[in-house]
Amino acid sequence: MASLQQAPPLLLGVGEEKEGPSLASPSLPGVPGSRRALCVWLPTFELRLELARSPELDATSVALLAPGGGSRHTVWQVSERGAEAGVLPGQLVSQAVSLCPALTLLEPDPAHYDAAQEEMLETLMELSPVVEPAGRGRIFVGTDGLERLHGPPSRYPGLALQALLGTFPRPLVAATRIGQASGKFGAWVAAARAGPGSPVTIPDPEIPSFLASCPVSVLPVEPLMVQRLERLGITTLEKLSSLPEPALVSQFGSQGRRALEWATGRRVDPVRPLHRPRPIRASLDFPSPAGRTETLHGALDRLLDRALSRPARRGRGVRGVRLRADLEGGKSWSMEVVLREPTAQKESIAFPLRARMALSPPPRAVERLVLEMFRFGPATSQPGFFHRKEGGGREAGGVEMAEGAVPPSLREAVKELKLKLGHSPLYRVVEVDPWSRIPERRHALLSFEP
Amino acid sequence: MSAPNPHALRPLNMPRPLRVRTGSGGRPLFLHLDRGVRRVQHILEIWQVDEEWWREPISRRYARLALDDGRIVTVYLDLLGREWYLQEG
Repeated sequence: MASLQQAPPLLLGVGEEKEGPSLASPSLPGVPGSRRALCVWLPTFELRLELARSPELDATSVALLAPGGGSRHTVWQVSERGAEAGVLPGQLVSQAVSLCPALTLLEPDPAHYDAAQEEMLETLMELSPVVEPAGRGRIFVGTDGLERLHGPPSRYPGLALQALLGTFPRPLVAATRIGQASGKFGAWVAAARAGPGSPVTIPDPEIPSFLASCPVSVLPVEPLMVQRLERLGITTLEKLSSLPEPALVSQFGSQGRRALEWATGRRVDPVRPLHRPRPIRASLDFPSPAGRTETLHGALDRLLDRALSRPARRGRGVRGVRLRADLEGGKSWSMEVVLREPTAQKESIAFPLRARMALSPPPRAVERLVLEMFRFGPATSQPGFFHRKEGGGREAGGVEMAEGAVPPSLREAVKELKLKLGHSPLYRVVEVDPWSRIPERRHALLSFEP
Repeated sequence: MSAPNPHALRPLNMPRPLRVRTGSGGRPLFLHLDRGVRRVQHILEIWQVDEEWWREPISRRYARLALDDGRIVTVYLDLLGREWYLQEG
């Protein structure tokens, strides 16, 4: 059985955005959620997916490397056998291998995990239209009003497992934990207490007594607050519940009040239906795997040009961008950037992406690069204070045009040609790897689709 | 004709197979070009490219040649496949 201490922290998405698995996923504003929640949780989701892909590793010591480790590779997730040998998440690979020489190290494949998470979401949507992801391998399902469709709530955990069995391999589903209670916090704590294949349902009257024995570390609050509580000897939710609210508020602010509400079961966070704006994707296939940073930066620029010029993007600023790569040899790499404010300026999006790429570059040569804009906001009409128009702008019909802008007449012409031929017959020459010693790798034609 | 994949980059300056008559030491003497056979007047430059031994090795010996009609062309001998190609260097 998984102890609550082993479980990753849960953030309920109140207040500011935080790192880690969070419930702060975009949900439809103003839509009432479901009070009754089912938490479906598959611990060490990523490692289990790898083991499902390579079952021969199941009985061996396996460790999954942390994504984006740069030059210092650390262990992210460890199989039971590896843990028995003393390998722990967060350890340096050198330490882990010295503890367990037979350890098999696996590189992370984030695209595979994201695809599995999407599949899990889609599968659970068969049970209820109200599903809300809370990090990979953890999904809340709203179960209000499902009685006429699926019968009494006691059946829902079984139905969820049954639905998952239709999509995922049996060992993966067998390791899934399910908790059911009112509100996401109660459901999550119940899931963390549940064993594989033994769902835990907490009826409303029992929630306070169920929560009382839980450690304060289950609270979705800042780790610093948990540390302070533990130092003060307040180790369980029962002890926390006995404290007066004004004292907690004076010590921890509004976070203290929320902690008390969760600890006593007074606060019920409904499951809100996930609002997923259709992402804008642009991809580029390299003729031969690209490993140079300059090549990847050039490709990123072109992907941004294409994605930003899509009609679906116009009128909206971009807030969240994901860059994904299919690597040579079959693995994948991805990174995500959430911008401080929505923007439609290419450089404002490219800069943080390049900076992140420099910190954790793709570990192998890239065969395909995919840019995905997945979060949007109102377009900022005000240019940056420090944004100065560069010289060399062009003019179209007497109107000065920005660098890279396409005259409307050309845009129309391409549209007509596409209608007629089914594809754009126009291309532009782009630099791929201008310093390559192999001449055919220096420049290429890219379909011109303004 | 099927539409090309709009997401794929189409490399430019791809090498084209070429028939070459060689002399002693593998020196190119005559090139079979589209407009007939041309004699090599001078070898202006020779260089070798060895790349990607870890993936699919590439080993080419390039030569910039002056032809009898005044044209300058770049050719290479694929040292692995032992075949000649015409390509702008």
